[in-house]
Amino acid sequence: MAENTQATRKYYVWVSILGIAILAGLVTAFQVFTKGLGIYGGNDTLVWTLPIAAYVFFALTSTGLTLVASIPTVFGVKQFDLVAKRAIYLAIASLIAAFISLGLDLGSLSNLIHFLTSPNMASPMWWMGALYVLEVILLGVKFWRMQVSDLTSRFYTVLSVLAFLVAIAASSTLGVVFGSIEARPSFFGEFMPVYFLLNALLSGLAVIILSNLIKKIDPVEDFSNLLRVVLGLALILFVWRTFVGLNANSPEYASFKHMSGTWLFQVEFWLGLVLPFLLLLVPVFRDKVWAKFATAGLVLAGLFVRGLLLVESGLSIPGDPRLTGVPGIATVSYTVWEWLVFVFALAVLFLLYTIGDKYFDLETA
Amino acid sequence: MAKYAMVIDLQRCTGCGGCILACKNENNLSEGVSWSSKIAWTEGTFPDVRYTYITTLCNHCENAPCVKGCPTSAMHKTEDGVTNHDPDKCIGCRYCMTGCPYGVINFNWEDAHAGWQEQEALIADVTAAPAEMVQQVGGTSIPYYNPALEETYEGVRPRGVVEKCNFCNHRLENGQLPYCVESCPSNARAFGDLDDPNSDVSKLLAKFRSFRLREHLGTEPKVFYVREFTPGTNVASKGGV
Amino acid sequence: MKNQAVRDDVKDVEDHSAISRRSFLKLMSATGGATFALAGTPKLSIFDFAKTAAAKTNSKGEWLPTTCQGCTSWCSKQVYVVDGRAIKVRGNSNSKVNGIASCPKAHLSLQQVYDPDRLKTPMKRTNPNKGRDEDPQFVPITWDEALETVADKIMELRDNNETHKYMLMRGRYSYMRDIIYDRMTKIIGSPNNISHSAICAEAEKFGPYYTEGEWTYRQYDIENTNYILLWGADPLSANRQVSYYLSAWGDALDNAKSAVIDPRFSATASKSDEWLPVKPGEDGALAVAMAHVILTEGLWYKPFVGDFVDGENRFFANGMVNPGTFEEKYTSGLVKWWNIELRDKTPEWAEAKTGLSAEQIRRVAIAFATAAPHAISWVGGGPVMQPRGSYASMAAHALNGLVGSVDNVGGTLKANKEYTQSFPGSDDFMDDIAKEGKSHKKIDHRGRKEFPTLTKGKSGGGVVTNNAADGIINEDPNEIKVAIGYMNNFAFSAPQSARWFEALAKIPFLVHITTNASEFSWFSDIILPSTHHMFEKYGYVKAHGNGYRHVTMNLPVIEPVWDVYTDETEIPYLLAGKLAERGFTNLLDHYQTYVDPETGAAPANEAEFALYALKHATHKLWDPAKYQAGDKFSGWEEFKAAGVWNSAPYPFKKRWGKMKTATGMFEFYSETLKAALEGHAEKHETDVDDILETCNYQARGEMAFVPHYEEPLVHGEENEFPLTFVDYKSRLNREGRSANCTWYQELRDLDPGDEAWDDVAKFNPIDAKKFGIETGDKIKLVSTTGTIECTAKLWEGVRPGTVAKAYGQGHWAYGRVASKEFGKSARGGNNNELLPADYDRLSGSSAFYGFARVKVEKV
Repeated sequence: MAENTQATRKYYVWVSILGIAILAGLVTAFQVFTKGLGIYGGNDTLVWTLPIAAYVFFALTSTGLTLVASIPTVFGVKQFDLVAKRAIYLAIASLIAAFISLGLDLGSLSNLIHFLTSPNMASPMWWMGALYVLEVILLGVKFWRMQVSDLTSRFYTVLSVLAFLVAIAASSTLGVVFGSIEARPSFFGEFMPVYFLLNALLSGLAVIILSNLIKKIDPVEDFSNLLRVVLGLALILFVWRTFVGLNANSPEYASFKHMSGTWLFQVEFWLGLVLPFLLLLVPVFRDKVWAKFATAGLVLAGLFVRGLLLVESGLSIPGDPRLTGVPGIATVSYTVWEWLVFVFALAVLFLLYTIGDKYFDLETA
Repeated sequence: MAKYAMVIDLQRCTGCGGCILACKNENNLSEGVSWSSKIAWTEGTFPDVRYTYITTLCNHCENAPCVKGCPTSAMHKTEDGVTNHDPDKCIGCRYCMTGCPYGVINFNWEDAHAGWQEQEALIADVTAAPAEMVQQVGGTSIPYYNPALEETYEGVRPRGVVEKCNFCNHRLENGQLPYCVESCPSNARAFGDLDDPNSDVSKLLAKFRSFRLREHLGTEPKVFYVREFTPGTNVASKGGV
Repeated sequence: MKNQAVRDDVKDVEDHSAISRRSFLKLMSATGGATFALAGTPKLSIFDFAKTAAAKTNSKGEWLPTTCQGCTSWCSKQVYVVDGRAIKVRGNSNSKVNGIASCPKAHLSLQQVYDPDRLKTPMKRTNPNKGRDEDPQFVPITWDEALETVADKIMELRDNNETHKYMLMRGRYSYMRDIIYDRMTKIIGSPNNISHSAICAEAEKFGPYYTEGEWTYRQYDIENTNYILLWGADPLSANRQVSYYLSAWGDALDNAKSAVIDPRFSATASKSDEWLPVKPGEDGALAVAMAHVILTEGLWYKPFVGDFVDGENRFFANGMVNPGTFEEKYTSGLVKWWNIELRDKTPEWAEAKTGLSAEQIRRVAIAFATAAPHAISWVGGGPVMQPRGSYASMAAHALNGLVGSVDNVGGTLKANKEYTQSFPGSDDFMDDIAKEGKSHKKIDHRGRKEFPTLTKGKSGGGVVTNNAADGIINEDPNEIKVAIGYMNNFAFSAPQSARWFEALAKIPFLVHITTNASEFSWFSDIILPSTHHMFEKYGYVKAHGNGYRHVTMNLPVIEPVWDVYTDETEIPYLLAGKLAERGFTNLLDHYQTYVDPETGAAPANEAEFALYALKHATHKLWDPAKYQAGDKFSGWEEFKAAGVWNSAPYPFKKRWGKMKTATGMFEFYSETLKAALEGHAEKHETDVDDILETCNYQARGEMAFVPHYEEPLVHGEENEFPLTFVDYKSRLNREGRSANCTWYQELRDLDPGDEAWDDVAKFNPIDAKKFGIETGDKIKLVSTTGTIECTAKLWEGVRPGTVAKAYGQGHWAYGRVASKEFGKSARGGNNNELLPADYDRLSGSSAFYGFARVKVEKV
């Protein structure tokens, strides 16, 4: 009984914290809608800042979770069944968090209707939006089917495969949003969609591991093994991207070079990639719960930083590099409002999860 | 249908910035927004110094990355090859700005002419608050508001959308030259139809070797530059070792 | 108080929106005669173009003529007025001086006339304590209260027979100036009408006057020249005829080489063949060395200068020449000049002085002279607005004599003739009090032994503007009790401004007529809000360029934004009314003689007065019965609709042999200066050498009468103040009045090396390293007399050993944008707070350039 009371108190403290965070988020939204995006630290050079990085972070997390949830149905790996429903639920919550971040970074939300009335099929931005909207619908339906325990029907299988494919399409299209920017070679190319996909998987795995740890559910082990592989791949891609960027001659790479000179870049590399990889690699740490927590936490923090730095790596110089005067590079200083956008989105994600955890049985489908 | 282009004679250009100011004036641009801008830099070591000034504006690219990227087709090409923007369709995602190789698209981070909405006077009862001045004069947003834009466009663009040069669409419609062309004191700008071999721009491009900005990107800009900002003569020398 | 009828008088001007056929044809020729392709109508003929442009122009507005006085180019303009709002500015195609060309700073005028910080109403200070740190606590008052207070103060002076303690300070002006500056001051009874001219560029006129007898700014025929040699001039940025030169420069470079002499890499330098970053103050050395090269190389222009009798060049370095062997044509004293000054002034000698290589000096001199007679030596303010600058002015200008470009095609020209007339005389309206008052000596000490100010050859002929502050502070020759300033801001625009803070605070009753509450206003008791000169005022100015002179009118193209009156006409008229009410009618009686030339009617109110005064002054330009030359009009209405009158084309070479010098010739040995100096010496019962010594010049004996090198007179020791300060003018300066425009701040980086929204002192990286300065550092510049704060910038376009910063920022008043905090702190630093007050005493000019050493401290 006493334990129960304590748990209830903890629960209310937690919900209150989330409530305050969401309230701050609503204040932020009010500021955005009345004053405009000038309350952020962006400018006509660095047009995207923290909210877009947050969007990328949450969107990829959602994709990753969808991929994880698809493993049982799509690849028939049955031991992952246990996490599928929670993963799908978290994917929806993440995607809503992503939409909040993006929504608070659009100058004219009221014109969104023209996504439908005046679509530009040549625009990766349009496809990205369309695919993620489709994705949230598919995930919703899939969760509903899980809720009614329809896991064997043909419909469910098709749904799962579709959600899986659209998740891949959406996240790689998000990569193409960057990858098709020809004027900014540190974005340009087919690297981005692949990199985004990999990062999505990374975040999905890390979130699932975290939630499993919290819920004290296995199979953490299998996910850790998978995470080790994906993290290794990400490390390789990261290193080569850095190598190429630092050795590039085009003046356009100035922004990449500047980014890679920041302390945050060191954080991303050492704490976001190397350290978690070592924790997964060295046998001593493998079984330690704290190490697993740390690994997943570092990976996620690293991914958030990656989003920030990725945006900065291409945008901190003007379209024409010769426009660089003094100081040459647009330096980033995120405002409180931008952080609140992230806090807002994160709080909504947590709240949704808390609600889901309480009212839906997320363990069994 | 025409294929509009601008040719900028850098020798005639004096780097005075008249185009930038005229454009801000004609198009009711907010503080911090410049559809017509510049790239200027100093090279060399004292006393052998060179300053180069290249006036910039939307290049109205044939293969415009901003148009390709715009999710709602707010950024679009007209049949005359002008890259236009429709603020009513713009969602303010700024993807066009990331895609523009030239950094000539502006975003309205705040209300247009926010400074003119201020309510505080410098000296109470002796000077006016900016908003009071606008009201006194009867302008819209700014005292020197140019209503001519309203014929084809928004007089001032709302917060949260992008904006950029449209070759003075409202003037083209009336058979007038873009205002930067008309107001350039140095007669450095010529405007016209590339499809017309007798147009000034066609003739200039036939006469002089021209260049465009970041041509290798294949955007096919419609703003051409001819001649040198610093023409200069060359003192004969074979150099030395 | 307004007279609506008169205000409306200018509203019914016909639509001038169509580019006139003449100007269009001119445009055509400028673009190589190709047809313009226009929107949707690519095959229009030129005549269709004119028609289309006329038909399609926005029907809601009209282009109305007026004049821009943002700088002293004084371009004729047209303002586009929609519903009574001025919304655009362009060049007036009717002007043959500037045509449709309109410089960038002209646009800023819109942000000036609609500046929210303009004064809406008269105001007075309520804090009796005056000082830089005393908030005046201004409160609004009515025009009646304001003018009556001023009238009472003037009456007090008259009642006490001390009208000489009245002072009128004039800043920028139109030629309506004499109404307030001359007539009003005289009729009140004071000698103290002090103009700003000596902080403008009087030394620029000194060289031309004492060589060719013309005390004017020159015009330069760049379209027909083959060489342009600029001495500190930056015509693509500032003064004079900026619009015209912007329009002609690029094409002039097709024919001409250009070289810019300036320690700072200027806008004009950026388009030049050669940059000669001379050590500040050493321009005179460069000029005489160039003259030396031209003579030793035998490159002088013989049809103008003449030649050795036998054609054999006897100008060899260091050698004397027998004057009898040389026969001059239209010049005088060449051999004397050689023997006195030039013979040992080799490029090698100049190399050590100027910091330029002898090779470059020789190369430029030869290229310049080879282009004779179509070669321009263009003397700007830089080399001459310095202590001892008069002789540099002569030396640099004398090069024009050597190459025969004076009064010549592709050369340097004087102003064309114009036919405006002066206002009715004031003598009959000066009573005994006024005559006695007027007989006192002036507050600026002109004509004293130490201030020859030899304007137009007359001792004390010019003004020593900046010294008036010392006169006021020291009550020498007398105290000033009542003073009025208009369109001026000496507390900002005059070097060592702090002296003006003191002087103005000392004046018991100070009135300022101004658009904005400026630094000068800060010390004033009553501030009268003025119309904006370009949009709300009747006036006219004269300017020359492109081989023409125009007389262009300031016309009220809009209703005044607030309840304001015109400084030079309406306010003195209204004041005259108040004086008349107090029993002193002379001024109003005088103003009543300014009758309408068409009807003979005397003015019934201030607005009619302003209009009649303008019609009177320009009478011979518009009245066909009085036609002299140049543009001809059918009458006032047609003239007013055009806005500008153009002179006859320039009469080339008409002055050869008939110059207004003592000899009639172009004087390399200035008999004219000799007479002037001797006149001044005689007045003070001494000799010329004593005068020169008193005035800090180095020349003695015959040297005083030839263009020659004088070492720069510098304030501050090099060991304590290691850098020489280089002041220049921003291309967006509308004199000191545009810093409150956001467009100004946003585009301050249009000046090479400068930064938007900032005020940067530019250091050569070599010096920056020495002093540990980096770009972006907040720094203090400290001179012998003042300190300012600004931002540091490393830039290769400044000479090592110098620091360059534009004038224009540093307002601690004026408005919300100009100052960081109104009345308290400045945005950037005002160069004039740094510069010591010193003078080129022969011309009376204040020194601005090359004479002040500074040190730098990080903040």
